[in-house]
Formats: sequence, structure tokens, C-alpha cells
Amino acid sequence: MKTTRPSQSKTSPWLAHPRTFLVVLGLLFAFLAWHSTRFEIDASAETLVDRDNPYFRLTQQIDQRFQPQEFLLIAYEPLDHELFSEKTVSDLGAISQEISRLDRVDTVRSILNVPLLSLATGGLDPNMDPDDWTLEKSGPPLDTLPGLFAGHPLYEDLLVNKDQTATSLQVTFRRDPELDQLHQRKLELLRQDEPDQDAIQTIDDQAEPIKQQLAERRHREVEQIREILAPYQERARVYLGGEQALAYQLVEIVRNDLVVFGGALAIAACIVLFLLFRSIRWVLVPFVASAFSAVCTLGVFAILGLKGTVISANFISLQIVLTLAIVIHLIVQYREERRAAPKASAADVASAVLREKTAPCLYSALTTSIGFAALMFSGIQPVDTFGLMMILAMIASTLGSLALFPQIAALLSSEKPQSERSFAQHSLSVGARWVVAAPRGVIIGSILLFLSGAAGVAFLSVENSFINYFRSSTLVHKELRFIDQQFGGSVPLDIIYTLQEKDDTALLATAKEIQTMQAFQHEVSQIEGVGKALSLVNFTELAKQLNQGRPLTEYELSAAYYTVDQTLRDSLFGSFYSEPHHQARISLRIEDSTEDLDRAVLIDSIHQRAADLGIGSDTYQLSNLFVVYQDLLQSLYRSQVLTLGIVAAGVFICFLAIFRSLRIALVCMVPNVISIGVVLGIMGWAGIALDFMTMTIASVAMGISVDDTIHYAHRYQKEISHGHSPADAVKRTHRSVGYAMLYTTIVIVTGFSLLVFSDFIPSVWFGLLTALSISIALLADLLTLPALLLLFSEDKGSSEGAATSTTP
Amino acid sequence: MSPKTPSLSLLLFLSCLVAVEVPGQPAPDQQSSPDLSSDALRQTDLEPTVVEYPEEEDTLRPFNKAIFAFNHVTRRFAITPLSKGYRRIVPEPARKSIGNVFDTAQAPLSALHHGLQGNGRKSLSSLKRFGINLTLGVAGVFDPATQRFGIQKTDTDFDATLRQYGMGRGPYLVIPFIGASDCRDTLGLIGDSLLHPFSIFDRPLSTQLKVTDAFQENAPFAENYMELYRETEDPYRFFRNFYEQGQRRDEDYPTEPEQN
Repeated sequence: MKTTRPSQSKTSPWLAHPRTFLVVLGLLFAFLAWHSTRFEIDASAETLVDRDNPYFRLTQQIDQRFQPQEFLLIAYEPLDHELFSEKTVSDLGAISQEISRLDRVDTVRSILNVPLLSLATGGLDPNMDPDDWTLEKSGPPLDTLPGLFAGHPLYEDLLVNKDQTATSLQVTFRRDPELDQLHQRKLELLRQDEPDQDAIQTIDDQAEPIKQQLAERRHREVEQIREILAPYQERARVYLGGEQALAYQLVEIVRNDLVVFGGALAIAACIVLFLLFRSIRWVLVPFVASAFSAVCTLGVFAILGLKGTVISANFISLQIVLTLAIVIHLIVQYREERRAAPKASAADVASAVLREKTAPCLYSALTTSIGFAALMFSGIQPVDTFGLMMILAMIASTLGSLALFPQIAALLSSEKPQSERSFAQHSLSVGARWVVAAPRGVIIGSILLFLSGAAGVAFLSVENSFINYFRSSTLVHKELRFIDQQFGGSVPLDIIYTLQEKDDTALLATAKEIQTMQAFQHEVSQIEGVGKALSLVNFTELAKQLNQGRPLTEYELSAAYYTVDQTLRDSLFGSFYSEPHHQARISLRIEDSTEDLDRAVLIDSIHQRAADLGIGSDTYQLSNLFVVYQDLLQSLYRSQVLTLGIVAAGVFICFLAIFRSLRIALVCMVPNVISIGVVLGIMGWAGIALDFMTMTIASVAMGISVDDTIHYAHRYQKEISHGHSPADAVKRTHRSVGYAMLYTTIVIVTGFSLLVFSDFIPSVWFGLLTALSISIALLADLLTLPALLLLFSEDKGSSEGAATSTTP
Repeated sequence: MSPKTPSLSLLLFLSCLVAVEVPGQPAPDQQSSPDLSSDALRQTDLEPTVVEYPEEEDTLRPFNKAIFAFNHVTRRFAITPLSKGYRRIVPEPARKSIGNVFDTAQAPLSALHHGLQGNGRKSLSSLKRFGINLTLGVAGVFDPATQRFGIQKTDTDFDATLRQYGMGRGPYLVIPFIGASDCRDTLGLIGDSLLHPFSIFDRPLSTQLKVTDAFQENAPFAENYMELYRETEDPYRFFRNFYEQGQRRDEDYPTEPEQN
């Protein structure tokens, strides 16, 4: 491409061998693309949790102490036959049999094989085998079953719903002994005063591959079970629920969204780019740059072992947007250079673009990265990781675009100089005129907009519902919701009740303590949103029923406990009573799909009811996922304020460094503060709760919108330094960078708006709100920012203008 | 009292009569005393699923502990191994039939006590059971009364009758071979033993039958006794409280009136 070189500009040495350079980039691309196939998505509930969270630690301890088995629930709701009928029995039998064949499955509990002790004739023989008294073995008439299950202390809400329209199979899985051992050792280490961090790290390193394998296995198991269930869908609605099923669905939806919306966004961007530039080349170049940086980033993630989580579900969309923003600025600059020098060689024009735009692109990459880096201070593990991932993505996008664009541009045949679109010309010049004519009016308008929007911040709430992550029209949402509502809830919450020292050590627990637990469990079950509660009390209730309605004595209870066969004892009571720790566990499941469930209130009510019953707060602890999430949510406000503060501080320092002027740095903060304030305010007004996903919006949006501010202010300063009057500088800036800002915003908003179609609600909000905040930021950057620049540089900034105008 | 009564039981009877007014016995109103259930439960309108009672004074403790020790030896070296052997050698259906025979033999006694307790309906059904199982059930080997006629077994005994007539339980008492009991229960056992239909046979056959009955009835629990003995730090206390709390519970929660 060595053609005639215009004398006034020189070709950058970078652009001397574009073909070789592109081949090298191609090889890098191939290498990382190969790695990117190993990129993994992990959406298990645990990924959302900070490993150092005290509640998470407690939950792990409790898990080791009581060793409950993980389980899946399968609900079976007959379409046109009775629930208690031969058809159901044969279906359940067949399903159970097939599922039992899966490797890790321990038992498949259903109405067929649970002991129905009230069938036992001739009283309760301590040596009888409870498994003899099941529907399968003792075959009571089917019409007696509704009575047997109605109000059953253990099985109602667990195996048969209250309305008796559906039944469920509880598939329990064997625990991994190796993993349990590692956990046990780690907990022992942590219990020491000065834990040996190296040893803990070694254990974590050993546990990691096992956990990973387990996650993959679980995913496959859910898939296999879904396959097994498929043929039964003809005569019954068969739903899959439980923690693992939820995790499975999350992985599926995240994986789906990554690809579908990444792709859709790319296509939409292409269309918009074509409409804006009317040229295939300006569609292909951004497309190539986006694909290049996205794939390279995936490869880097895979190499570093960074996994996609629920929160990073949108990172491909985000990265494409970031890349497009950079490339559009480069294109607009290219076209501007081309218009200025229609005869210049492509390489020279590309060099000019590189010269003009490298600095602002790097600056804006820096500020965007600050937005993401701030997320790393959130204290919420997956949000931290997301921040790190996006910084890497940002680096890849910036370097990728700056490397690819000029090289490709240098190879392009020279195109006819083109003017920008008339609607853009028109609206930008109108904007510029407004600003120049009435800067104060623009500022007052901005303040009003800001205040009315930002007032909504006061109404911001925090809430996180996993089931509501899925759009309510989806099958997944229906399935999870059905099981959640009919079979006792989804998210586990444990009350660990410490039994007091008793007078007679032979006792399992004194009657009074069981009574206290009974009262506690009863009261807690009344709280809205609390589903099935299980504990020793359910067993004593059952025993009372079997004992002709007469309570057991505490000694009978203990005798029953000690005389039951050891393995049966462990499987029945092990997960509810820990003999060495003398603790009992009340296992609750919270109905996640309860409308307007206020999770903080729920936890407060538990404490309140305990206090009302005179149960000391030192005698019980709350644990398990629900509490862990709630603790994280409580810190969301703090995290949100903290991350925003860090973004603002970081961006401000950058402004200072770039513009070397306190005044301009302050002025540049304004449009960004406006857009963030308004978006958070709108979330408050609209009742969109802060959750793990939505809390990232403000930081991300600020990171992106800061780019426009930098491009604008940078150009404005340049125009001033070229000796233009502030009013002229505003007009000239509008007519140059203004296009790039307008175009990038159009592309970004179009792209993010597509997320509205996602079935993953956090993505929908993320897309909509980010688009909104970027639109507001554009308005603020094109109106408020120049108005402020005009006012402040006119009044007091003349000396500075003079100082900088000496440079050219 | 029949002339056959051993003098020991007479002694016990006397001590029981005294015991009726002895302070070791709880006053009736104390039985539903609120501090028997936990503070938390009293805040709700729930019925307890597990109950407890305060430990009572053990007036005959030295005597009881000695008998308990003696019983433990007999259980450990005789009753438990024998029961194990019985359960291993005799198949379940046969054991069930044996149980049925003894149950049937007991039915007239239950009928008598139901009658004495003023429960004519249960008395009648016990008699019916006796008649049906003795005849159709081939001397009680089978239980057509339950299986064909749906007449459930409702056992009662002298102890229940005495309770009905307001007699207190008296101090806790461990009886040789049999184990945990109290004065009233012991008295009832003696009475029932004398009134038992097997008494129509001559000694030693009648005694042999009664011992066999006690043995087969206890057999399913024999191993449990050993387990509990091993599991508990103070087995004497455990079995005493197990017995006494069960008695108190039965007083507070009499079996529900017969459904049909």
C-alpha cells in the first residue's frame, strides 16, 4: 500500500506492514479462540457467595455437622386421572426405577416407598422394619390414601401437596466423602486461633477440581432426569425443582443469553452501523473488531480460570458495546480526516486517526476500567469477579480496536469523503445552538431533571428472588414456582437450636426443649413466605399420632432414638440432631416466589417470634443460603454507595490527570453524576430492587458514559487551543465528536434494548437501565457539559484558555 | 386376698395403702401444673408432642437398686439370650400366633376390668373377641376378631381398675424378674395373676403358662433393654423415669374412647 504520500502528514511506522501485523493478530486470535472453548459457566448458588462471609462459614459448619443430603424434587401433577390411582402408582414406580439407576442417586423417595406407620397393625413393635409398611409392600386400598397423607406431619407439603392434586418424588444424592473430608479438615484448621493459611489453600486447591466435577455431574444429572421425565409429560405435568434444578436453569439461561444476546446485539449493531454510515466497510470493520476482542477475552478467561456467573451473563454484550464505542469514535475521526484530506493515502489517514485518537481512547478505556474496578471493592465475590473480567475485556477491546482498526483502514481503498447523516447534523446543530444561546437555561433544566429523578433514590429497596430471575411466562418459572408454592419452598434456611445442659445425660432432649422447638417451629411456620419446616418435632408429632394422640414422654423419645438401628437413626435423625454438639436443626424452606416477600422482614420476624416466646437469642442461630444471601443483600446498599464513590473518585482523578484543570475536571463530573442519579432514582420510583445484578448498572453505565465526556472535553480543549472562541469551540465539537457520541449512543442503546427480550429478568433491567443511563449521559454531555464549559471558561477560564492556546 | 398370696405382696399392699396419703405422691392439681410444659409452648395453643414430669422421691431406693441389679443379671444372662434365641428359631408368623393365643386367654380378664371400670361396651367387645378367637380362631391361634370382624384389641388390667377407683400409685418398685413397677401396679399384677384364666389349671402348669406368657410378651423388647442399658450412664435412673413418666402420661392422657 505504498502509494503517493502527502507531504504534510507522515505514515506511522506502526502501519508500515499492515498485512504481517494482521497475520500476527490472526495467530493470536486462533490461539485464544482455541482456549475459549474451555470457558465455563458456573451458576450454582455458591458462586454468588463470598467465601469469607461469616454466615457462609457457619453454613458450611452446619452442613458438616448435620450432613443433610442434597435433593431434587420432581412434582407429578396428573392431567386427566386421579392423583391416587393405578396410573400414578405405575408412573411413579417407573420414574423411580429409572432415576435410581443414576450413579450418584441414593434414594428416590415417593408415596410408594415411604413408611406409612399408621398402616402397621398390631401396634408399634420396636423391632419392626418401617419399610414393611409402605404403599408398595402392604398395598392399602388407594381410596384410603388421601386420609393417610392429609395433615401428615412429615409428608404433607413434601410428598403430597395440601390440595392433594400433585405428588412429588424426592431424589436424594450421595454426598462426596472426599469432599466432606476436605471440608472437615478445613473447618478444623479454621477453628484454630491462627489458622495455617497455606494448609487451607492446599485443601482448597484439592477441593476445587472435585467441586468442579461435581457441578458438571449435577448438570448432567438434571439433564438425564429431564430426559427420563419427558415421556410422562403426556399424562401429567412433571416439574423439576430444588436448588440444583435452579442452578441448572440459571446455567442454561446464562449460556443461552451469552450467545443469543451477544449475537443479536452484534447483528443489531451492524444494521444501525449501516444505517448511520451507509457503507459495508464500516459495518465489517467494527464487527471484526468486536468478534476479535470478544473471542480473545473468552480465551483469556479460560486460561485464567475465570468462570461466567449469573452476574456476568451479559459480559459479551457489554464487551461488544464497548468495542463498538471505540471503533465508532475511530471511524468518525477517519471520515473527518478523509474529508479534510480527500487525496491522502489510506495509510496516512489511518496514521492521522491513530495520532488523534490513541490518547482519548486510552483515557476512556482507563475511566471505563475504573467503573469496573470499583466493582471489585463491592465485597460481593461474583461482583468482584465480574469487575475483574470486565477490566480484562476492556483492555482486550481497547488494544484490539487500536491495533486492528488502523491496520485494516490502512489496507482499505480510499473512499469518497462522506458527510454525516442529516438528522444527526440537524439535531447536533440545534443542540449546539441551544447551549450557546442559553447555557443557564440548559443548566437549570439539567438541575430540575436531576432532582426530580434522583429523589427516587430514597425509595430504593434491596431484594433478591431467584425464581423471579426468570420471566414469569417461561416454563422454567412455572416449574420452579409450582414446586416452590406446592411443595414447601425453595431456598433453605436453618434454625440451629442449641439444647441446654440437661439433668439426665441419657436424655436426647428434655420434653420442655422439644416443646420449645415445637412452639418455635409452629410460630415461624406462620410467617409469610416460610414453606415446609422439618425437625425432630415432625417426628414427635408423628409418634404422637401413632400413639393414639398421646404425647411421648421424654424418656420414650430417647429410648426410641437409642433403640432404632444405627443406620436408620442416622438417616432419619442425623440431619436434624447432632449428638456431639447437642444441637437440633429446624430446616425451613422459604417460598422464593412469594409476591412482595420482604426477606429482611422475614428474618426479623423469626427473631421477633423467638423473643415473644422467650427463646434467648443465644440459644439459636440462623444459617444456610437464605441467611447468607440476605447478609449479602444487606451489604448491597453499602456496596452500591462504596462502588459509586470509588468510581466517582477514580474518574475525577482521571479527569484531573487528563485535563490538568480542577475546574474542567469538576465540570466533567456533572453529566455523569446526573445520569447515575437519575437512573438510580428511576429504579427507586419504579420499584426495581437492587440485587446482585442491578447493583452493577450504575458503575458500568458511568464507566461507559464517561467516555463521551472525555471525548467531548478533549475536543473542546483542542478547539480552544486552536484559538476558537468558546461558543465556536462548542459548535465545532458538536459537529465532530458529537457525531461519534451520538452514533455510539444509538448503537449502545439499540444493542442493550434488545436485552428486553431476554427471559432472564436481571438482564432485562440491566439492558434497559444501562441504555437509559447512557442516553441521559449523552444528553448531559451534549447539553449540560458544553453549557458548563461555556459559563466557566467565559467567566474565569480565559487565562487558562490563553495558556493552552500557546501550544499549536 | 386368696390364701395363695405370698406374704410379700401383703406387705406391699399395706405400704401402698399408706402411700395414698404419703407426700411422695403428687397432688392431683399438680399434674396439670403449668411448669410441666415449656414457657414457649404456653405462649401458643399447641398441645405438646413430648411431655416430662419431675422426678419423684424414690422411697424404696436401696431395695429397688438391689432388685434392679439382680434383674440385670437375669436379663443379661438368661432372658435376653433366651429371647434372642426364641426370635431367631421361631419364625415370625408362629410367634404371632403364640402371641394371639395368650392375648385371647387374657381377653376375659380385660372384659372383667372394663366392666369394673364401668365400660360396658369395651367389656362386651373383649368378650366377643374371646368367643370369636377361641372358636373361629382355633383356640386363639388366629385373630379373626380383628381381621374379619374388625373388633380391635382393647386391653386393660387391674392396675387401671385400681386407678379408676382413685388409688395412688405408691412408691416406685422394682419387681424381681419383671422390672419397673409401683405398688399399685404390683398389686394389680398379683391380682391379675390370680384372676387370670390360666389359674384354672393346676400348678405348676398355670405358673409355667404365666411365665411363658410374660416371656413371649417381653421377647421383642429384650434386646432393646440391653441397648438402652449400654447407652445410658445411669440405667437405674433411666428405666425408673421411663416407667414413671409413662405412668404419669397415661394418667394425664387416657387412651381415647374407643372408635366403634
